[in-house]
Amino acid sequence: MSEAMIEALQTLKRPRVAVFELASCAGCQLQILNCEDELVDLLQLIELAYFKEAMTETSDVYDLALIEGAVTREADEDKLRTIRERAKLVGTLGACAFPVGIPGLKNGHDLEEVARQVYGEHASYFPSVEAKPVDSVIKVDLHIPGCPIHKDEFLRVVTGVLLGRKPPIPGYPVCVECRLKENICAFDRGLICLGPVTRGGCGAICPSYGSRCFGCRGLADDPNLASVENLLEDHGRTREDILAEYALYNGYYALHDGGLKAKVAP
Amino acid sequence: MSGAPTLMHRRLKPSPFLPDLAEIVRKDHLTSTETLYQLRLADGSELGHTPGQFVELSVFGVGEAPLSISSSPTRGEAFEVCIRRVGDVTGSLERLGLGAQIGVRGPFGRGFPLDEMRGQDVLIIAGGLGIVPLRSLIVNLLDERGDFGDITVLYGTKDPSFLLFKDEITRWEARDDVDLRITVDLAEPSWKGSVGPVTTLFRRLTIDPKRTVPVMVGPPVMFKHVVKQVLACGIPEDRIILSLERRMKCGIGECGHCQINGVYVCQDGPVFTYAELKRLEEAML
Amino acid sequence: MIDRVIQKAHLTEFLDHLAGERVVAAPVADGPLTRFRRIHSAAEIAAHYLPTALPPSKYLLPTKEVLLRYRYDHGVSAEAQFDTQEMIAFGVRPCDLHALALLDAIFIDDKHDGHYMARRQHVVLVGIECLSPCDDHCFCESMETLEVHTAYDLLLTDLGEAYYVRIGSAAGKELLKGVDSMREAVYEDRTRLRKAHEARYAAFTPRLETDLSQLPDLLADSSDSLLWDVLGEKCLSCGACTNVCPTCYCFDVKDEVDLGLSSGERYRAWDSCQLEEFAMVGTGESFRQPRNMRVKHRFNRKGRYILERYGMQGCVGCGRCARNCLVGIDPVEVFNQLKGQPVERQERQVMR
Repeated sequence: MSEAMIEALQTLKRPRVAVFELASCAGCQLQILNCEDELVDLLQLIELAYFKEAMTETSDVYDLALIEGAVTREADEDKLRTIRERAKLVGTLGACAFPVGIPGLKNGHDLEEVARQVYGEHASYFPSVEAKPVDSVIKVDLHIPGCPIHKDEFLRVVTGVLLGRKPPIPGYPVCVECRLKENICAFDRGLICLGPVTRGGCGAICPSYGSRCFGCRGLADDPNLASVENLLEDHGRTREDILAEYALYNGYYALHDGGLKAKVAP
Repeated sequence: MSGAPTLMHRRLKPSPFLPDLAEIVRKDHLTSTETLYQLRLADGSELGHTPGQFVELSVFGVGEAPLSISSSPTRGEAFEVCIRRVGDVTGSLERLGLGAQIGVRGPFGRGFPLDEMRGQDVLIIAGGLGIVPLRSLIVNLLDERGDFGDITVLYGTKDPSFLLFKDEITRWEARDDVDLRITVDLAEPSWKGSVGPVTTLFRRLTIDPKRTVPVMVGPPVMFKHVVKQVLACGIPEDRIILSLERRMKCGIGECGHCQINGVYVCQDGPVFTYAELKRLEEAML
Repeated sequence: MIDRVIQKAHLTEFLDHLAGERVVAAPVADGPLTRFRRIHSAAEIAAHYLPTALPPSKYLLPTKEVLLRYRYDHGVSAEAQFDTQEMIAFGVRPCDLHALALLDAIFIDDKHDGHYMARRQHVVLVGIECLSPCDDHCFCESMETLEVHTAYDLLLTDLGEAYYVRIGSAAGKELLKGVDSMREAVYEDRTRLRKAHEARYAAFTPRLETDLSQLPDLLADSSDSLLWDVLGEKCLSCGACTNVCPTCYCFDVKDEVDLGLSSGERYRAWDSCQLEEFAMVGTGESFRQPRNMRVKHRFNRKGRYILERYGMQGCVGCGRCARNCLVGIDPVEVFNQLKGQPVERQERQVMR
């Protein structure tokens, strides 16, 4: 009975998984490979169909597609649409896929100038458009946030998805876990911090190591942006400083849809 | 209250979170989204509930969810829950077959005041999924029919496809000792019955305010209108019975999720009188 | 039980010995913060400290606590998990002792929660009385929690060169057996204790402008106050106030699956009524979504609901929430403003 029950509970049974990369540093894919102790068990649960960082075989047949990176080329959009057609479930990995993060830093600048600075005289070989999130092109079923993603959260999401559970990504801000860890608040260390408006689930890893939150996981479900703006102003920051603060990871949404607002992750 | 000293005399009690095991013995798809599950406790014992109470049902590895009991305690050892697929637990139950083992804690909470209804007319008002706990009450009333006065059931749903317990409803309709009236918000022209909110069913209804106990379960918006309606009939506030839906996580008044103002729905309710709730802003009445 | 007097030097020796043999937790300073953590010598204990970052209730109701482990193997089996690690928590403030007494009333007397009880039976609490206020945020005097007669196994009061020791339980008495040099308190010691207590009241200024017994009524009458809207606009809903609160105990229950999918655990983890998801039901509807209502709920729990239900103060005046609030929401100010403001009486549509 027990094996039948576990089998029955699974919405996906040993799914074929493909991992794709758009504009990104491949750091999230490396986090998957960092699951060293768990890889053997993980490969009992899933079958890898395509994962360029990890294997040479390729396949176009897969159930679950995981995409790291931001859309920065027109060709990316066709690629994404093909993935969407082939996969039963599409997930995105990391800040580049949502809320765009580092690839989005060029947005709002003269893109030709940006291309010239990066690629010099060969800029025309690398056609590039404004960076945008994957879910602005195709429907995304789940998102694992972070820069990079955390392997524990990755494993929790994978097991959760297999059992048909909603991905266990919290909606609350980073502060929740930061207080539970008994960290000294970044504001008490003379820093400012985006913890109060940034989605938690990371275990407040940056503040725990003496840094502060830069907002890589995107906004929490219920951020009080107006109050945080006042808070940052009380800590001597101008409106421009504050926008720049959000720009690092949340710049795409700071520029679109009439400014930064609670954009709930897919 | 004292702290450590009294502890020395206390027996270490087992976990209030450890469920009993139960087996799925029947599954009936009532609509495209609702399924009725018949469950039997692994040790063969009866659940021992009263209509209106709920259980915490769990699928190990997925989680736990509060669900109202839909069967009457008059009907033997198996019990029933009717589930709409909305979350992880309810979704995973759908995938489990007969014989699968799940966890059950409870029954929890205060059920409908059956004894106070004896000898009285009972007016049942169900909106949408509100019929689920009320079916437990209706079956109980009908199984002990002689103990109660007039029984009236008003049942409203979105459209005819959302009607639950259709076979039973047909049987209730055929009885002359229960007055069953159904209405839907929207219907195809082929629908012969009433169209409109459940309050439309109050028209041409004779209610004796001195001996009628109204019992209602439904969405918050329904409560607002129906309470107004029964108050207008002259029924006192402390005889109007309603049951609330909240997020009962622990079932034992610890976790805080189901709290409305100072009240714990999982313990003090889910069944309340209107008099108990009317001053509670968070009851949303 | 007869009180004792221990020279400070002897207590230090005793703690050094104890920390070498058993699990002893005490407040340890780290920059502006103090945390309860395991110590290995008395020298690690902070001399003067604000209430710890998290209250000592974290040892009785851990931030994450496994309730049961399950396994799919010839059907399903589940086994409840109980933590029976023996430990001594040294240096618990009266405010936190009051909070633990409340948790005892809820989790033991009312709920018979075996997980809490198992821990509670194995934790020895050594309290230390406060003779001066921690800082401007503390208001234990106003909440009448400065004096403590419950929850502790031992209670120490600083008499200068020695500690006056009151014994609260058999476990406390047992613990004292390990102290080599100690004497029974005599009349002179009790006089010194009384004088220390009397002197203490001069150091603590009352901060609450309302009579404590009036607080529940004040809150009940303030349901329509515009102050909730003002606080709702400020509040970050970050959960800092509830996470650091010694009388907050709300939790969520969740399952975690082992990678093989055939086993796992069900755990409870601290949750907060200040978070949007807290009052959400299965269909996604939240019954306390607006921020102002969440803030109002917290203050009503602290000043009214818990008192009405358990007959004990739901706020012990430790000041942690005020110290940790990034936008400066302070319970004393909130209660005083409710008292000072003419309460907004006009019918107001509840924001939804």
